[in-house]
Amino acid sequence: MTKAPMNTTTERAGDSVLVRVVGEVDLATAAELKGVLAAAADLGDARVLVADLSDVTFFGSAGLTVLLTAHERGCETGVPFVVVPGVDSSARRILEITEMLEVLTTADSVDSAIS
Amino acid sequence: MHTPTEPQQPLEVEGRVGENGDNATAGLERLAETVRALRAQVERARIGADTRGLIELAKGVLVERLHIGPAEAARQVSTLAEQAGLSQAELAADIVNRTARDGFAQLLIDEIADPPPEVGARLRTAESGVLAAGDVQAVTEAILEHALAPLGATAAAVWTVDLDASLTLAGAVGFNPDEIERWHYVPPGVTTAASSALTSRRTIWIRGGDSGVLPSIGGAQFREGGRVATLATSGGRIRGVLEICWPTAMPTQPPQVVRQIDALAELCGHAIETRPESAVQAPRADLTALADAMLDPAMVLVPELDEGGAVIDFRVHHANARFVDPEGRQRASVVGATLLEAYPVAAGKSALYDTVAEVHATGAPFRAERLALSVSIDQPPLTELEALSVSRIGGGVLITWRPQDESAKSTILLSHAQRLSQVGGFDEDKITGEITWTSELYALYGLPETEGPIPLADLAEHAHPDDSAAITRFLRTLLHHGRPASTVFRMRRPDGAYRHSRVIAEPLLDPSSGLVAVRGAYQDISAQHWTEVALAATRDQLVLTEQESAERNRLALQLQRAIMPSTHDPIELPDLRIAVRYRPAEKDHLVGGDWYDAVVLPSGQLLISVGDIAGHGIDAATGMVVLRNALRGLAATGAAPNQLLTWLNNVAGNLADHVLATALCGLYDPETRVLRWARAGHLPPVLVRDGHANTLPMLKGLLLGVKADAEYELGEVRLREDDVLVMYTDGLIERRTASLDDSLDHLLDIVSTSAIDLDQRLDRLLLHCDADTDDDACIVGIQVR
Repeated sequence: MTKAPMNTTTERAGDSVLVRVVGEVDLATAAELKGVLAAAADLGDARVLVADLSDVTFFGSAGLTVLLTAHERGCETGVPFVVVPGVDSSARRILEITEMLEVLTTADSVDSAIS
Repeated sequence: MHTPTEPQQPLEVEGRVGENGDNATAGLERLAETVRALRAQVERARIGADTRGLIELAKGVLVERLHIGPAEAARQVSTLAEQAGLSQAELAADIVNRTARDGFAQLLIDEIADPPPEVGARLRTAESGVLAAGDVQAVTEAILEHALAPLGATAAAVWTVDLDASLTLAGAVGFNPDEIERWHYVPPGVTTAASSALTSRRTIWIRGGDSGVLPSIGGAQFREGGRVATLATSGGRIRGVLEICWPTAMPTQPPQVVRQIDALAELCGHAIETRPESAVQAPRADLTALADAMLDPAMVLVPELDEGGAVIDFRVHHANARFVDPEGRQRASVVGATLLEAYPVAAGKSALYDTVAEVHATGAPFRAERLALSVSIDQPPLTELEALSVSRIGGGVLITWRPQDESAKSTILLSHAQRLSQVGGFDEDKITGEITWTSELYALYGLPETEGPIPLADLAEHAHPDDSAAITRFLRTLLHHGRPASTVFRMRRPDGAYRHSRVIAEPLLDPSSGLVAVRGAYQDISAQHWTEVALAATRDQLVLTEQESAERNRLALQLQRAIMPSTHDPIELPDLRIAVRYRPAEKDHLVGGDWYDAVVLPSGQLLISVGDIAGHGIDAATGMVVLRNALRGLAATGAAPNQLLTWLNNVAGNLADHVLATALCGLYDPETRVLRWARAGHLPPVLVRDGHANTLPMLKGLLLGVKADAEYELGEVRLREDDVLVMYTDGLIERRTASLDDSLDHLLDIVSTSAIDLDQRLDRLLLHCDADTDDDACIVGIQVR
């Protein structure tokens, strides 16, 4: 059985929209993630959009563009885009090396992101 | 007492002189007398012989029983007979009866408490006579004389049965000679007393008194008399019929008499069987040869008898080459088995076994148009035998049949094939002018069969005008040149629609008379045609698309290769060795976004850089080109690497479509051996010194293209002799299943391994750093000498 390399779930948590990403974000799946985040942002009445990347097993450079786009959209719409990179995840390391961590709005956990 | 062994009496001839004293007449009369006397003597001798045989048999018994010699036994017989007051024959019969346990003995022991000795004697004498008799006539006479006459019968006839159920008179006594002459042969199907017994397979009793219900031998002679016809069997087979006539009507006979007659009939059967002149048993080899000579499947069966001589089964003696077992067994496994062993169902509904048994017993052949033979009891019949024939030939039974008509099956198959493949056949006889079409061809043309066939020569009238040239060529090749030909054309059907069709034909030529006939077939290929058309269109489209995309890819690849050759002649600076490696991504039609650069600036400094644009494809490639060249240009200013990256960042930010990139930029001064460097979101270089490898510090530096006017940290390292510095892109080490740090450690391991020179070191890196993300990998290495 071939497992999809990336799975996302979008849910509402109170007045937040939470997108959980599991698996690999690479050239192939980055486009899908972009669409998911765009759709999530379109869900009205959200105070904050959170992307949980703690279960991402691989994060390629293609994913960086996606996150930046979502961040800039958040700045425009006034609905902040918060990334939860996870503690030890692949996503965190990339975000560190590229210093995107300092650019994006990040949180250590989903709860803190929501609040 | 009269003994049969009295010495021969001298011939007594009474001569009588005729009244008119005619000597010739007297001589003739004397001759006649002599003959009569001789015949009487022969007769007496014969009778005597029969009885003598019986007495010899009895003597034999006594020899064995009393362990005495034959002479003594003879005396015993004589003495015993005298004492019992019986004739020697009667005593002998008694002795034999008590010793033999056959039907005769049983007859006498059974119902009758005190059997009259003459019955036993009679029967035994008759038997003896039969045994001694050489032919059936003698047998008949013996039977009548000894056994039947005492019962009041005056005539007996023994018929033998032939293969076709005809009766042949083999022995007759007591009938008029011309009656015997007339009745020498009864054809099958004629109902007589004897043939009735045969067809109904039981004894026929006719009381008599009526005026001859059934025509029979001696019918006139014994018009009023009773008659019995009983089957003479032997070895389970009906050999013939014994017919006995009484002069007067008779009441129902007591059982003893019935049984006597049965016993006598069996004697007759035995006699018929063993008569020397008849070759009753055809050699089995002949029957086998006959079966082999038949074109139809055939099987030879021979009867299997039990100890009593009754038929219990039939054994398959032979099956010819055409024989196919309905159960698919090998011929060899069926031959040798009995019928009931090989085909248990023969005893069932199909009654095959009964049929075989009847044919064997009566000799009357059996024919059936069709016989359904079930292979197993529960299933419906799997084989139908057509034209089944069972016949008795000699001692065996020959079964032949015709399997389902092969040609009929073929015809059905053929017509199905024609219908399914939409093929219609035709035949044109050029001599008679007759044209034959299959019904499928009418369907192809869309014509009713009543319209009649259309000659091939008129084909053009039923085709699209544009195809007339092809049709003309086809007809010319076929009819004029006399060669097989075919062509594809659009057939016009009555409703005006066109159907793509193919016609194939071949001529039949006679050396002298030329074209004799043309035969061929049409096939509707429209489905095929349209499929091909669609396929061609799709293919064209595909080719176009492929071409376009291939073109684009080619362009991109060319571009990339122009910028980034996979190897680069190492730059030689006096005290420095520089080497670069580039490994494109696995998907080589997707241009990567990695670059490397190593160029000596006018100032004498060495600019080295690696970069990695996010993404692949044309946009990544063009972005990469821009940034690489921009860096070169910017470096000409002499500014420090961190300043260069600040500018480069702005360049990237100004590119369309959010181009993000990571980069390393280094400036090396060969004089001072100082390397100044900066990073923008990129993994720091690795320094290999004294066999140890370490990454340089993670200087501050944001990914290029994110925000304007970013600031970058400057790093410096003074290199020593033999130091190796390596810059690389993450495509070298990235693994989906491993953390980046683990991959980094692995890299450090590899790169620190001692190598002959820089080239080998870099090659080893390419080889052993197993990345699995299909990303480009660039390496730039410098070694201080």
